[in-house]
Amino acid sequence: MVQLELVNLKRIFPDGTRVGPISLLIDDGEFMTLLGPSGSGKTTTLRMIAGFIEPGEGSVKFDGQDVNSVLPRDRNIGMVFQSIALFPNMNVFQNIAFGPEMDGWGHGQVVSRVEELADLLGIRTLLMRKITEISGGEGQRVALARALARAPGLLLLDEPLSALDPHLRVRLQREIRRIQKELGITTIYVTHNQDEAFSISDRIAILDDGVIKQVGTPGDIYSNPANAFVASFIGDGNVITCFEVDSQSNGSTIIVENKSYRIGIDSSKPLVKITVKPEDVRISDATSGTMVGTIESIVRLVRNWELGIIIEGQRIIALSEVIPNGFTESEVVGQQVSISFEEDSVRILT
Amino acid sequence: MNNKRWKFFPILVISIPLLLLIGFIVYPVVYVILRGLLLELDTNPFEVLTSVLTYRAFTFNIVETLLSVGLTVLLGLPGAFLFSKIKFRGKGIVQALLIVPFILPPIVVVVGFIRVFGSNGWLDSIAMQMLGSSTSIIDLSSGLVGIVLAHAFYNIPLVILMVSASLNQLDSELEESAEILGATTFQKYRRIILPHILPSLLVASLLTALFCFVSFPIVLTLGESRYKTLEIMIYDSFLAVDYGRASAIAMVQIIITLMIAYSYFRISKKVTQEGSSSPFSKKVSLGELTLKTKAVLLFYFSILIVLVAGPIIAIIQAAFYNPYSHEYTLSGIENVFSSGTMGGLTPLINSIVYASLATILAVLLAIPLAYSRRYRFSWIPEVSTMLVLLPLGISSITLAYGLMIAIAVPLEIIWPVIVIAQTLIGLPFCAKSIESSVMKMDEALLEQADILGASRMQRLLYVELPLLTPGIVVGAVFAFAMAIGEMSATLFIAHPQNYTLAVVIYTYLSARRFVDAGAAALILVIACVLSFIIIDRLSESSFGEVI
Amino acid sequence: MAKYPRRRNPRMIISIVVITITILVASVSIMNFYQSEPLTLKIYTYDSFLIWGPDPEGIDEIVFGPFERRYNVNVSIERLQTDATGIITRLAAESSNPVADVVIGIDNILILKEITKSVLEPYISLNLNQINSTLVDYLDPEHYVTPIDFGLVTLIHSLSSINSTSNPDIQNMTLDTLAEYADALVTENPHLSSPGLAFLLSEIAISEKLLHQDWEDWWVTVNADISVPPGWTEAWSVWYESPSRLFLNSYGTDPAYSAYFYGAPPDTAALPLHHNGTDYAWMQVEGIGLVKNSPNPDIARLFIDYCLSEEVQQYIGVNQWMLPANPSVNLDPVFEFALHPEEVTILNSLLPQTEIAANLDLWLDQWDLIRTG
Repeated sequence: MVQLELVNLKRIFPDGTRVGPISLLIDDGEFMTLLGPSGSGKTTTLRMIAGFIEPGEGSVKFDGQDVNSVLPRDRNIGMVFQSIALFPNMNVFQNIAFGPEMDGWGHGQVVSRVEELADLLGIRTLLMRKITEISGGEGQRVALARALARAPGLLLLDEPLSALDPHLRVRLQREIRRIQKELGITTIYVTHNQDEAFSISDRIAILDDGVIKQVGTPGDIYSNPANAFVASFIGDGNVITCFEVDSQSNGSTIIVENKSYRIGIDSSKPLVKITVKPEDVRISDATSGTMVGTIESIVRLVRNWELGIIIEGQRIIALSEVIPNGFTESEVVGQQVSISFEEDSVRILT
Repeated sequence: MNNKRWKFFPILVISIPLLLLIGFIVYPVVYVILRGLLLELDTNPFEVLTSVLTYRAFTFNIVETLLSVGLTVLLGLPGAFLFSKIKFRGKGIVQALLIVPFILPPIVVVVGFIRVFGSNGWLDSIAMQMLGSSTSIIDLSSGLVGIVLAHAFYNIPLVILMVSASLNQLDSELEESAEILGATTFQKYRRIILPHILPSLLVASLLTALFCFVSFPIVLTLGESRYKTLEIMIYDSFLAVDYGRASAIAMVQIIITLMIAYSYFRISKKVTQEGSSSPFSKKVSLGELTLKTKAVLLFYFSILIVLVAGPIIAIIQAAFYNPYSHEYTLSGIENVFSSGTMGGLTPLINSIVYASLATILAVLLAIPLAYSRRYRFSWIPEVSTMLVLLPLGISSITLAYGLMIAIAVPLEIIWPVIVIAQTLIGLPFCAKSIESSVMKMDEALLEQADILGASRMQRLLYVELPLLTPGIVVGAVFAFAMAIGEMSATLFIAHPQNYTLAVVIYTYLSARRFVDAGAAALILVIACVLSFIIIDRLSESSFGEVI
Repeated sequence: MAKYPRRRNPRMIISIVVITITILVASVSIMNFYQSEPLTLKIYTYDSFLIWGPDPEGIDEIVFGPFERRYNVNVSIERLQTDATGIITRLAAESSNPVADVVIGIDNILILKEITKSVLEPYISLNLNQINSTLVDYLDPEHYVTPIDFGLVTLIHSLSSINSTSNPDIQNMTLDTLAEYADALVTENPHLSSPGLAFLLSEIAISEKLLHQDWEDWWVTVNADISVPPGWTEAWSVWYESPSRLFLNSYGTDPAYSAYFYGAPPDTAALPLHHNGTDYAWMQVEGIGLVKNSPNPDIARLFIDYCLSEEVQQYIGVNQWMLPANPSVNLDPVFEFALHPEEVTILNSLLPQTEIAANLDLWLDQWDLIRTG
């Protein structure tokens, strides 16, 4: 079980896209997720850790040792791809046994190790099946068993569950987490799915455009986004431009850290960006509140309604369990409402 | 650590087959040509090239090639559509049988062809009976007509297989979108289907053109010395030991064949990049067709059967029917397996042994060459593919002669040179098959093997080779079929103990032992058909994609 | 407890492949090696040498066995897949490192080519006096090759298909008459076949020397109708299988062959070309020669002597269907049906060897021009 450190990793591709500089320290036994939109460099970073891509600059260190010149096969890593990539000419047993066999383990040792892992992942009955005869979820388990067979120090997972349906996905997420904790193996997980990242990780590194935007626990990232990107990326957070005003000037102010702000742009005042999550936006009758805006859109989601409200030319997203103020879906657009923010839910972005 | 050393290993492995190819194709041909041009001072190449004879041979060569390609495409294209669109039982077997003409030794084809299309042949006899005539009416087996028809016989299956493979990749959703958007059938064909199959149609046409341009036994026998192509002139010149003339004409021929081969090579790259059969291509079953369509189909099908299956059936008949005693006999087959001086057993063993060696050699050469395509070293993959395709485009007579003078005689080796000649003939298609398998290999699987700790060798043996096995099997069977039918070089170089079945057919024909000749030909046909049925069972891709 | 698959050791597969290759290579090498021990004398000849008799399988042993036992050598008769012309090509290709010792089948036209002499070495046989001296003059006074057999090249036809009763005009087959029967005629490609070349030279001789007209004219007339397959076997097939092709350019001994195998009197008849009351035919003399720089020249010379002796010459008739060069040999009775030299005027005398040597290439080129025109 390995402590992984990425030191100033950088790579520029021939077509101009760049990844890095990326620096990150992952503790022994930690479950770290790389989260970010498509093209943010998560997979590239993962592949640099694996050794399939050589960093242009910087280094990858395992337990303090630079492994840049070490081939992937010698890095003692297990990896699960999005496409699973099970060897089609072998059955399940042979797939899982591949790593140990390449290492030269005796047949008896191999058998007991495979059985052990099969038990761990609940696929004991599948061992003699051909790869074509197993389902998607079963395939992921086999891939995981295969990756763990050599008891590697590091486990890398590149969006392994994205092809599965949501229920199966959630189940497997939890299993992966359980196994990881049980084995105590350092794990790097790549995904673009926020719920997934939040539910299974010890820490999350948010990537965008090739660099890390923030690293922290899920709670940290949710409550204290470090910058506008993280704020808006996580949970569709609102980023609102405000300017400072004297306290007790007329309504429509937001109070954060004992300062008052009003939504909008005033060229004479310094501008500030604040963030608040949609679920922390309260909607009430237009007459009752201080900040008034117009409902511009309404969308039905699985559990609630998502409303888009225009205030001072800016769009704020709010989530509400019912359509506010008793309106029906067809009437609500164009109505005026007043909004307020849940106490302590607003953050200033630097 | 090992990085630096391993970087050179691939170059080493690839260079071995490349050197072999250069040594056994480029060197002999260049040797013969240069020797002819530089040493034969009493032949003026310029005179040779501007003589009336050369001009006539050249023009005729181009004409017969163009006509052959035209007829082949005309007759083959409908077949491609049929093959792709209509479901029927036994498609796999038919597919296997379609390849047979392609790899039959030409001498065998000529015999069958004359029997079906020549005067007093099957067609003629039917016509004579119908019209109550006692003299020959139809003779489609001589002159330009015969040559073009025989070439069509050879190449129609090629067009059918390659174009139908391309059609199989056409998503029916594309066609259906067009229909929904209001396209007429004509527009649909013009705008969607035709552009889609154009690359594979071009590739099939170019390949046909290549074969027809250097075609030899067909033109020699059916042309009856009235019609000469460049290849015939080269043969005449070698026979008369006029190296100067042979070289001058060979140069002209090589320039043209290289042009055709190069075009084939460029366009075929576009074709191989597409994936394998789409499960969504539109298929119709036989029962769903209208009566009118079925009638047209039947008509077309009967033409195809007569043209393509006819000569093969004639060969089968020739194996058992003695035209002089007018009786059926098994003596021909017995002879193939008997071991007298005139018996077929030694040639049969030779055929199998040489072809097996040639197949193993072809596969061993093709694998590193196929891998060279994966390397981004700019010029290596291009050069290796060109070299591999060379045997297709070079006059077989020139190559045979070159192998003889430049290698067999000075080094006093006979049967190894025969094996090498057979390898060279099978190599192009073997290499293409393995190459397409290599390119389709899932990179992710290889990365997994690496991550799981496999060394380079282990990865090759346990992951890559099993993945490549279908492609290797297809390639091996192609190589075997072409090797066992090879004749030019063997005829030239071999001593009697090296004779193969293909060569021995000539002997039997010379001795008027037609049943024995037919039986030997039948064995060759069976060997080829068996090989291809094996491919069909074992491979996932269809032939058209492989070629 | 399920049985789990063990991973196969690649060494096993690799060794199997290697062993297979080794076995294949070894067996082929052994097969080839075995052929060359003990001392082997290699004879190159054309594909149909001596195979026309009643026992084609055993004829080599019958004829050459005594020589093998007498001198304790192995005689290997290699019938190359070609007409005589191809043998020279082969010898020329091997000239830097000759394989053959003796060549049989070089005829009186082939010897005129420079290239032929360049691969042979003159040898005056100890048995030369047993050979008809006229033949020696016709073939090669310089003794690069010595006559082994000879024959007349002439047209043949099947009496049941056409004869002088049904078609009186064929009684005297002049060139003009023959031109009228062009669509019934089969001859061979003069580039590739010696009887074919003999026919061409016959036509040239008669046209130029007897009729005093351009030889090309006749070919231009017949070009569209005449059938010219590559070699004698193909021509024979065409003649045999097409009811419309009645005349084949072949050998004067064909009637004897027919009588021998199918009973007398034979259905095949010879039909020499006719002019002004005389029948003409071209004489082909085939020779045996010593290959230049042969591997075993001494035994080779002994072999040539042997071939000229009665021991071998007695078999020429019925197995080769040519006339033996050694006149002291008795012929099978069926040879009365063959065309004899005494019955015709030999065309060779009209066309001296020097003239042929000087013009042959030119004539062949012109023939090509007419043919492809």
